[in-house]
Amino acid sequence: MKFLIDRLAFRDALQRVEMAIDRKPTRPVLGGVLIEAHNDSVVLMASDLDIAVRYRVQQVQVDQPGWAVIPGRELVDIVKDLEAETVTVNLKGGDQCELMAGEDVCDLVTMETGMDLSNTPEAFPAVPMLEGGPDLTVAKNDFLMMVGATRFATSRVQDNRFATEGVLLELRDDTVTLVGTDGRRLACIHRPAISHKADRHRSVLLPKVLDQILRYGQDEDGEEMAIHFLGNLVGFRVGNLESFGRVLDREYPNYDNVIPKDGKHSVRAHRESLAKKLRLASHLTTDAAAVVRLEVSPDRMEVRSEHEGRGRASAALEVDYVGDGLSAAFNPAFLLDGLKASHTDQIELQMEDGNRPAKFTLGDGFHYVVMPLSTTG
Amino acid sequence: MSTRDEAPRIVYHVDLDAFFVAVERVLDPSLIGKPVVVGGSPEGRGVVAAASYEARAYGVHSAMPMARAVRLCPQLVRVRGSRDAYRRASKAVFQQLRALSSQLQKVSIDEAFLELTGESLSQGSAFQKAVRLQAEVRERFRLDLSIGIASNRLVAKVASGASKPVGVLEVMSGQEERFLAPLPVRKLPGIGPAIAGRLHAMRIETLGELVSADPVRLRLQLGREAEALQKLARGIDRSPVQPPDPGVLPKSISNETTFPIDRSDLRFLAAQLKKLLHNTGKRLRDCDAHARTISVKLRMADFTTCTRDRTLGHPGRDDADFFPAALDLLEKLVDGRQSVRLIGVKLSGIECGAWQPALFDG
Repeated sequence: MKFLIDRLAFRDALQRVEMAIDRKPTRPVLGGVLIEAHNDSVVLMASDLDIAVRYRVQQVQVDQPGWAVIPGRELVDIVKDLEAETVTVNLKGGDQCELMAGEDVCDLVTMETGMDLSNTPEAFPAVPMLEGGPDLTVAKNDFLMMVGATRFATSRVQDNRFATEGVLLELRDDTVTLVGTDGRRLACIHRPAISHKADRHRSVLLPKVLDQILRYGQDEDGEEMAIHFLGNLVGFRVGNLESFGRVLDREYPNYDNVIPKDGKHSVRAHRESLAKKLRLASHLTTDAAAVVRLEVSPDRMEVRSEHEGRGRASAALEVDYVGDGLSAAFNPAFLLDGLKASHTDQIELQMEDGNRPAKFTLGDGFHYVVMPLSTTG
Repeated sequence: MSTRDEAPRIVYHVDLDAFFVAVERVLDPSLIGKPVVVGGSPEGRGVVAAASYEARAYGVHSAMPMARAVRLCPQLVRVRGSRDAYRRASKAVFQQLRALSSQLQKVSIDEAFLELTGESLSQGSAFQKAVRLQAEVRERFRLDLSIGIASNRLVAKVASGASKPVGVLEVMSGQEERFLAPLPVRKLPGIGPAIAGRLHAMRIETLGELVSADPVRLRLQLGREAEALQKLARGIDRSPVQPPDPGVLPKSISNETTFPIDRSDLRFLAAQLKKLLHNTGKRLRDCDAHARTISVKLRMADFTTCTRDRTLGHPGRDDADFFPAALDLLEKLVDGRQSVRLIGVKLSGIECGAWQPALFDG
């Protein structure tokens, strides 16, 4: 295997597969990057079994096709620090892979190598080929926005009951839905599908693949995100990037049940004004007792907080509200997370009363449900 | 001894009837007359936290799995419940009780003892005051009370139970033993299924029979508790009504049980764990607090003891907040090689203040 590659294109390609390089590999090969040099392009692949990424680079000149598995971390770091415009990658005799850029040369010890591209390494996890048309396509910008609107609400720890560390991807008729929840708050967003083969589908994805797509999807050419349902994996293709995420096989909570219908109280507020007041009030809360109380009266909302022994805050803003008043306590971080993910200037809060779940409408088809805090003692 | 010391005490035991359901009916009057339960979803691991008298007629009772309750009474109306609303209602009612006496000891969200000894009777007798209190609470809060009046806590508690629903029952001083005598032994606080089983084996069914049982034989069966139980069965109880020391929360709440024979099957152990957790959880809720950490303890057949604990991302208060973590800890502790002789649970990191309830039913 020998090829000449544009250094920046190589660096960018490696960044795209980097998230799939296992940092603490149980098998050494999971810490590697598989490089395939074809006649017209070079394909990079990595997989830690939760996520797999395939990325094709066309800015190459291949002298000798072949493949090699190269230590991933070292390869990423070295290419980042090379300076020349191009890099020559040359598989030398033995188990050495030479990277040459200008006068700088690094030899990396390969994990496996081969000449025959139809016979890639057995130990390296198979990264599926996306053949045939996708099962579902969604506008790329819509999909990236949906990920941003739900990913933050997923649980950071594994729950025994529900797969809340994952993001639910659901297709119902012509609508695609993503849902994220940690059991205390829930973000749910709908967008129309551009095309779909089946009418219904439901997968719970480990969020890592979505993080990867969110980070690099925007830079890829193309207006559509092609989605393939592959049993225990879901594959995404945009531009030269193909990312695969593992599907969780545990139950996902019935999210429809916890999204309240229209509440008795409806409050409209300017997103940024509310966020500012919440940030102000949250300075006088503690991690152990992160509480802000929203007191809503006609056309006015007061955001209050108190940190025992430090002081208290009260910040007011104008809102659009008609009613006999509403008072509810929330974790300010939960509210700020939602407002940050919002893509509209005016948000709406609906609540039956201060003890029942609050529904925030944070954009078109974007709902965020937050359970208010309760008080004991 | 002064004359006042010799005067009989006046103790109320006040119990709010089907409290959670009653509050739900205040919030939503369409529930009145229907078989209603408060609790988690039958699809999940929900249990009945409270049942209306209409639901109880179908055999539904609290702590029963919700799925079973729905099978017993298909037309059952389930409400998820709002502990905040119950807490507020409870506070308001107890505030009203304090107008009668400051010596109030809250024993749970819907039960309290009130010491009226030495209070002026110019406003009427203890019985009249109780009837008036019942009417006032009914009028102000649309909630029903049952009140037991006696010369001590024990008999007042049994009396309120006997007066339910919406009753007032006064046991006159000196009549305690006669009042208790015909009642089944299980009616006496402190006699659970285990002791009742042993008494039953001795053909002791009523409290009167317990009083007249041979103390020596009883001691052989029940050990050191025998004498105290006989005293209680006579209606003798000197425990004071103790208003709480504000701000003092227990450091931890625990409960454990030893099996008659060593067990190793996980399903059995999980069921025991659930029961223990329900008891500890109830005590936590009675303190009106929440807990951050759950611990599970196993003592193996060879007497080695192992404990694992987990601090939750969000403090919990309901059984469903703790059970998944507890089950996970249990699964990690059970090694399959040894059977288990004792299982225990502990809730710690107990605090009160703001806490984050869950969106999904347990």
